[in-house]
Amino acid sequence: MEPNLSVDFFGKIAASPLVLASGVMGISYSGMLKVVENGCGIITTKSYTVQRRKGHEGPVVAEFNGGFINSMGLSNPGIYEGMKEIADCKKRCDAPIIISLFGVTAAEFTELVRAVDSSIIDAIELNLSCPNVADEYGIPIAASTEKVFEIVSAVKSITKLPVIAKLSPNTYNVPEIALSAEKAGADALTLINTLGPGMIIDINAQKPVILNKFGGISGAAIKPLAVKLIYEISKLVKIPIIGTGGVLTGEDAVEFLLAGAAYVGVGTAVYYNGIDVFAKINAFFSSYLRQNNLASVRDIKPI
Amino acid sequence: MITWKPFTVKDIIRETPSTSTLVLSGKMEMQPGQFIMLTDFATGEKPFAFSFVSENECGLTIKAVGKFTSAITRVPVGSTVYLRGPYGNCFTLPGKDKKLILVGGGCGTAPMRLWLRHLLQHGYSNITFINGARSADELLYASEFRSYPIELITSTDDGSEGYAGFTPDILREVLTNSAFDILYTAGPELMMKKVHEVIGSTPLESWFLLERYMKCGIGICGQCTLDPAGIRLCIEGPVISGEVLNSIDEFGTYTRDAYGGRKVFAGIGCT
Repeated sequence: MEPNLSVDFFGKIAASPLVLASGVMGISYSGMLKVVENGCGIITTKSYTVQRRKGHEGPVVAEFNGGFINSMGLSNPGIYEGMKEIADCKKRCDAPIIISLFGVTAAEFTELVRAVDSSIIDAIELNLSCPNVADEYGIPIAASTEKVFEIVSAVKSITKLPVIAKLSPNTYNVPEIALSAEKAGADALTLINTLGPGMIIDINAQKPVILNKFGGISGAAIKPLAVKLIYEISKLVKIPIIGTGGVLTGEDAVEFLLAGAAYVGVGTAVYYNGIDVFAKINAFFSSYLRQNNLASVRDIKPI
Repeated sequence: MITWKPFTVKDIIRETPSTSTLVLSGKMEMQPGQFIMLTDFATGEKPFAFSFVSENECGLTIKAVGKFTSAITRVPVGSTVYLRGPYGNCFTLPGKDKKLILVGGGCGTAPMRLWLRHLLQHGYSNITFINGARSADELLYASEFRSYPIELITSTDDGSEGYAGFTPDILREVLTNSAFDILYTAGPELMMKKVHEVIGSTPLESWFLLERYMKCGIGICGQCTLDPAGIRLCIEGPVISGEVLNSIDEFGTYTRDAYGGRKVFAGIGCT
């Protein structure tokens, strides 16, 4: 019998536990469709702000042996344009769609949530990694239990959609933050956002490669940190976790499920292993399930 | 692994009032049609196609239209710029007996020149080239093209050199009088859209070099996808067949800006 990869996602059926991570391919409806066609179960859109943002001038990406740093600068056409794009996607596919929202204050987040058309969106992800200091990548909101509680509560009070808090790894108290988000009513957590930021210097130019100097670290280098936080936090909270951070292969994805993730986010892997990386990971799930005499991906239990 | 390769700017040729060619020292392994990302690590980074490559030099012909293109075409000779790539797919050499027609409009003539030189180097002799620009002073490589063993047709929108008119209209006439096997084109999208319409349902095989706002160049940011097929122009393009374009409804209609929003093509610029 063909192993079952489909999973429940807040009452909707997703064809696979794989989630497209925010910021990758999620800008146009056709980009999102392409990812679904290639085996992704759940889509996360690019992070939207109220006003449109141009993002940073390039270079916005740089690679090192363990992965990538990027500083796209949250380019997006604004939530209202974004909703049209998502509507175009929803018309053409059944995959659950998570809209990612980016704000600085609870008021900004609630303004964004009010702009979300809940008839075409299946969940809201709060990108809580915003700096609340003057420089671009200072201490994120996600380092403050109070602020996370305030924002999640404010959002929960005005929407019936499931609310997912995406947490930053760049703080010593991630488990406390996770508990705070759960207490405020979060329905799920995404762990982890990019690490750092980091920096790469071009030795010929003797300049930072990223024009904005610093960029969030993704890719293989951050995977053990993601696994550790998923493992630790899944034992503390009752809400499901979307495990994200350095998943490149089917082996990585199974490792995340064993760590305690309910869903597995895939982002940078699109560069390393192609747009069909989702199908490749799904194929590995199937062979892993067969090898272990398991019927469903949900039978891969956390260790 | 993404690495930036340093190149010394050996010369800057002012081709037209708005367009310059950066002549770079060094060899770049690439195929016609592919593109590179160019940066100065100071102003920005943009995708470009080469206008020529040789054993020890390569050239980027760039129109100064914004902050980055203005800065990069004014760097002092001897300074260093940085390239990553090449990226994307490429033109492929057709059968030797094929009758070819190349259409370059405005800045699109730059990558068409590379392809033309490549074809000539490989012994192709049956080539017609339509080189169009808005006016005589914006026409690229006019005298160079005259020295090639090709059928050269020059056109300008205002009639200041060659035929007066838009390249798609010239193409329509040319196609009425002679038959071709394969067409290659690069230029403003509205021009290419009209070229696509002119080809229409004829059996002419066609290849279009498209342009979109590219942020990462490596297929992850999603900024350059073509609706509705989700073709990432930086990976599955930038060379797209006329047949595939039949189903690309954004072709000639809209593109995406730096914000990722849809930007409708203005009704001008059809060289």
